[in-house]
Amino acid sequence: MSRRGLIATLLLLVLAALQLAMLAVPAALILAGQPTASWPLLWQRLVDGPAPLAALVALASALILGAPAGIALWRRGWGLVTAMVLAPLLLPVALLGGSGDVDGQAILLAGHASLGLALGAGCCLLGLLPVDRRLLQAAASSGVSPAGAYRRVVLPLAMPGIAAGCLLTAAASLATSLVALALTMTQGRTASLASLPHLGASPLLSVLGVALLLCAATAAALALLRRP
Amino acid sequence: MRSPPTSPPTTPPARPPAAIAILRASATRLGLAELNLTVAPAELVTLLGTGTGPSAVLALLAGFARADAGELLVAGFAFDRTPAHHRGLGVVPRGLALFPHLDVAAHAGFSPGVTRAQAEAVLHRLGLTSFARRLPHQLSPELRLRVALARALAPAPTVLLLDDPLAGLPTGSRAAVKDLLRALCTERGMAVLHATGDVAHALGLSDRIGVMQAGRLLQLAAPRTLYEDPVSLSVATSLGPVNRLAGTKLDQEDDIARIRIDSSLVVEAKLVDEIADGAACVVTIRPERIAVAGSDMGEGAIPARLVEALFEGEHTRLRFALGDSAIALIASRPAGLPPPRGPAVSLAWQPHHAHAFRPEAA
Repeated sequence: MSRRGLIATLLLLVLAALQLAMLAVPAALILAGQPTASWPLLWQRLVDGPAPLAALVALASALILGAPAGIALWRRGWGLVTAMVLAPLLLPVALLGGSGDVDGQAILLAGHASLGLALGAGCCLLGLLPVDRRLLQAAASSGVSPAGAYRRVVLPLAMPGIAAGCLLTAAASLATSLVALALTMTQGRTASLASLPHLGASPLLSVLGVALLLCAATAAALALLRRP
Repeated sequence: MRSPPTSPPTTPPARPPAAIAILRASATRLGLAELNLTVAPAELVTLLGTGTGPSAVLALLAGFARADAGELLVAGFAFDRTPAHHRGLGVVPRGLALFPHLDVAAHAGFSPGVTRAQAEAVLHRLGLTSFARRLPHQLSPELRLRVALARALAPAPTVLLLDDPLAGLPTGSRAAVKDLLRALCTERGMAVLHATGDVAHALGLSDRIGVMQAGRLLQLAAPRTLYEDPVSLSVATSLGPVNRLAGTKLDQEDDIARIRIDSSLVVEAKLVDEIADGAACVVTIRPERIAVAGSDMGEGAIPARLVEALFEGEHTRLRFALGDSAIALIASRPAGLPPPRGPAVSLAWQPHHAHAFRPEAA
């Protein structure tokens, strides 16, 4: 191995070790019950609230809706529809916060499901982009039905993307709940769409407005980018 | 006979006598004009043409595109409405479309109903047995083509469609692959339809070649016939290197015309199109048909100046300027013969080796 190769390998291993420590140390502290700052309290609140359910819903949505949507988008290559499916990724995280209240729980879960769909579809699509669509034709010529072609050819090739989508979805869903929780801890409640006005003067409309504007702009940009 | 498998048939056609026939099929969306083509068992026919024409015909047959009129008959079955996966044809798609996550053995056994023994037999026939556990990206281009062939041939199809399989192969392995394809075609009695845009891929492989242009089949014939008796200027120019000389027809005797190509130069050529005396025409002559002599060869010979001689291995490429003009002419000469001496030479050819056509709109 060349000297540069050796340095790159060492750097990579050091980074990997640091990343592992970043997960292992807080996890060990929590498991050992060491109170460091507000961590355990926040953690307790998070687990007690709707966050785990929201994360599960998001994960299920990424798998059941997102992955097939990603495959369908790869098959058709529709830029505008892709942008529409991915649009919820631009929502400010606080909007999808976990609420301790029962009211608005359906909206909350729908929000997380939408997040899961977007991430699941996006990662699946990204994983499939380099795959030649003619593989489907080759499979059909070999006498394999369309369903069989998806099962035997597309799904295995999409697997890394789908796995990445699930991982990101779970992380993003929990992080979203956590941010909302941290923002509103002092009031004893968390931000949901219903409780958001507590955060400031009249934020809901302006936040939604900005979000919609961003969505439209990004959708247009993505659609233009995909034009050959 | 027309059997109408509108819904997926319960069993694919069980080895009927192999023959591809496309009857009165046209597809405007694919830019295909009406086409009439039949491929017999153990025959290899190449569709040669620039653009998407040849590939579009294969797409029609394979079921990736729909003909908008006419009948599509494969081995006696009307295939217009049969979905691709019920057609039972062997297909090697453009770019091969191998499955990146499956090894060689999995490709051979990919088709439903292919037994382990069948898969092993086809791997053995194609010399892939020792590569059975390799993935496509670990193989050379020629081996990848063999894998695509194994996938297509394992279910023992009677019809094989090849979409430019020689593209991307190094020139050195072309001859061996052509031999393999011919051998497979003969020993399995398959009707093989091959599409390409490269005449070098078509010659030395095909029993017949169909020259396509702008979605039309211009001429379908044996390679030698196409090469020596093209029906049109397009066919003549698509079959390898050819000289084109613009001129004016003077007169004719039987089918041999005298054509003035310059104020002082008159050549003879066989008339292919009907051309009136005094009308403009184009003369084509293949480089290897031109005889080169150091001195005057007598009546009918053309004085010329040697501009350049390029050694190309099996032959030498000679570039001449005709008479006193700047009209260029390429002649090729077997490498065993010494190049002509001196810049001043004379050129001659048999009148029936040159062809006179009406000029075509560019």
